Amino acid sequence: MGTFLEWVERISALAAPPAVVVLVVALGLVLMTRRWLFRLVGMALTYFFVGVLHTQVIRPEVVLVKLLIGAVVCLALGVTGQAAGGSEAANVSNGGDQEKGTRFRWRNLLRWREDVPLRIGALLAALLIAYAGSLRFPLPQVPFLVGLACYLLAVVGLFLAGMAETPLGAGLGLLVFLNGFDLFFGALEPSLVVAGLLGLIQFLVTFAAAYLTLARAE
Amino acid sequence: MLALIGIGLLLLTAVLTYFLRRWRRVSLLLAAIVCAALGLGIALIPLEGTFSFRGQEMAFGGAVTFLGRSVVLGPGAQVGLTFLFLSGAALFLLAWPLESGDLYAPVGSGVLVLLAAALVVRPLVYAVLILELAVAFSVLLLRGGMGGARYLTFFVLALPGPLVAHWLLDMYALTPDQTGLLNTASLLIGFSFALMLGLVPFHPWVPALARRESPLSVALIFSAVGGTVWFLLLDYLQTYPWLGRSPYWSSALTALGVGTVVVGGLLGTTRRGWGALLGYAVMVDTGMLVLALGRGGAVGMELERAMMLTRAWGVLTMAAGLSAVGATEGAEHGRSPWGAVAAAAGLLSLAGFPPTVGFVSRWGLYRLLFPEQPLTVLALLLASAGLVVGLLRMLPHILVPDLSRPRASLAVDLLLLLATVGAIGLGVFPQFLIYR
Repeated sequence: MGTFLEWVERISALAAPPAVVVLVVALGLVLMTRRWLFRLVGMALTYFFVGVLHTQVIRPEVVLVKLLIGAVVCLALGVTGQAAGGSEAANVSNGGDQEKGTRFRWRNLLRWREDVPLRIGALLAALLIAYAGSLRFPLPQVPFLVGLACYLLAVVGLFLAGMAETPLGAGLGLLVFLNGFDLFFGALEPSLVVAGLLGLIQFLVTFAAAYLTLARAE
Repeated sequence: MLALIGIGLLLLTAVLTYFLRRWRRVSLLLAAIVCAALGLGIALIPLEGTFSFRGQEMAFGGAVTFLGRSVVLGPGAQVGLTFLFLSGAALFLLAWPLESGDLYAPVGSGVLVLLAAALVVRPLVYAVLILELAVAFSVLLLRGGMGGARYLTFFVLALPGPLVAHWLLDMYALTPDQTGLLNTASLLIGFSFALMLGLVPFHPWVPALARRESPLSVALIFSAVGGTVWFLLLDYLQTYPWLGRSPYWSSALTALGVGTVVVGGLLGTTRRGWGALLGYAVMVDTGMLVLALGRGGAVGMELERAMMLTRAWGVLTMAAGLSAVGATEGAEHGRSPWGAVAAAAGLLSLAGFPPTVGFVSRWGLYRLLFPEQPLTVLALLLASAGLVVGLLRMLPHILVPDLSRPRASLAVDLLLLLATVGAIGLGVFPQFLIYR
C-alpha cells in the first residue's frame, strides 16, 4: 500500500501539466465518439488523471478511495454499455451505422458521424471557457492547473449532459461534472464524510443512469 | 430521538417490504400503515416530552448526535416529517390497487428514509448531500428514458451551490467585513433551489418527467421530494435569515414565481398528454408557492404551508385518477368511472379552481397580492385558466371508457372517491386545513 501511495505522489508531483493534457484527450474521447468502448476508456482515463490531480489537494489515502470509486463506476458503466448494445447510437433512431447486435468493424472507425464537427466545436468552446474562467475567476484553494481541470470537467460535463440523447450519455455527463466539482470541493472541505457522501452520490448516479438505460432498452 | 426512531422503523420497513415484494399488496399496505403511524406519531407526540431508555432520560425532540452528526427535530422538521410520512402513507395506499411495480413499496420507503434524514440532519450541507442520494435512489421508481435523466441532471447540477455556499459562509464567519461572500452564497443557494424546484427557465425536467412515467411514481417525486426541497429552503431561510432580507429577494421571487406560473399556464393549454398536463399544473403551483414565499412574514409562511398540503392532495388525486383511467403508458389495471373525475378534480385543485382544496390557499394569496399588484393577480388567474383550458381539451380522451379493459375493483373506486371528495370537501370546509 505504501509503495502505491508513494507512486501516486511521485506521479502527482511530476505530472500535473501532462495530466491536464491527457484529461483534455480523455474528455475529447468521451465527448466526440459514440462508440461505447472508447467512451469507457475516456472515462477510465478521466478518473485516473483526476485522481492524479486530486493528490495535489487532498491526502493520497483519500485519493486511493476515489480511484477505487472510479474503478467501480467504470466497471458499472462498461457492463451497462455492453448490455445496452455497445453504442449509444444503437438506441437513437437516426443514429449511425452500428445497430444493436452488429459486429465490430475497424473500418467503421474511420467514418465520421454527422455531429462530430459540433462536438469538436463543443470541446474547443469548453477549453476556451475553462481557460478564460480559470484566469478571470480563479478557484480558491486550488493550484491553477487544478482549477483549469475543474472548469474543464464541469463545462464538458454540462455539454455532455446537454447533448445526450440517452440516459447513459446524460449519466456520463453528470459523472464528469461531479468529478470536476469533487476535485474542487475536496480542497475546500477535507471532511471524510463529505468525500464519502460525494462518492456515494457518484455510485448512485451511475446506477440510476444504468437503470434508466436498461429499463428503456427493455 | 423520535426522528431517529421513525427513520429507523421506516428503514426496517423498506428492507422488509423488499423481501415481501412478491406479495405486492401486502408490502404496500405494510408501508402505508407504518408511514401513517409514524406521521401521526410525530404530529401528536409533544417534542418536549421525555422517555426513559436503559435508565437514561431522553427527550423526544431536541438534538441527538448520531454517527458524529447532529440530528435535530424542531417544530419545522416536525411539520416536514409529518407531511412526508402522511404523503407516503397516502401514496402507498393509492399504489395498493393502482401501481403495478413490485419495487414501489421498498424503493418508495427507502426514498422517504433518505428524505426524512435530510430534513433532520445538521449542518445543512449534509441535508443537501442526502437529498441528492434520495433523488438518485428515486430514479428506480421510474420506467427509464430521458425524463428521468433530466430530473437527475437538474438535481445533480444543483448540488455544488449549497456546498460551496456553506464554505463561503464559513469564510464569512472568519472575515465578516467581506459582504461579497454573502452575496455570492445567496446567489448560489438561490440558483440551486431554482434548479431543484423547476422554476423558469429550469423547468424542462418537470413536464418531461411526468409525461411518460407512472403517475404515482411521479406523484411521489413531486410531493415527497418536492416537499422536502421546500422544507429545506425554509430551513435555509431560518438558519440564514439574511437570505430573506436581501433587497432583491422579494422582487426576484416575484419575477421567478410569475414567470413560472405564466409559462406553466401557457404550456398547459397545449395537448401534450395527461402526464405533461400534470407537470404544467405542478409548475403553476410551484410558481404560486414561490410568490407566497416572496411575501415573507407570518401570513406568507402560513400560506406556504397550506399550499404545500393542498398541492400534495391535488397531485395525489390527479395521479390516482390518471393511473385508474390508464391515461399514461403501462396501466395494467381495470377501468374505473371515478378515474376521470379524480383526475379532473386533482387538476382543478392544482389550478386553484373553486371549490377545490387548492382554491383555499390560492384565494389567500390573491387577497394578499391584490392591493399592491392587481396586474400580477390577473396574470396568475389567466395562467390558472390555461390549465382549465388544457383540461377541457384533454377530458374527452378519458371520458370515453376503454371497454377492452375489465372493470376496476371496488377498492379502486373507493380510494378514488375518497381522494375526490377530499379535494372538494377540504375546499368547502377549509378550517381543517389552515384556520386551526
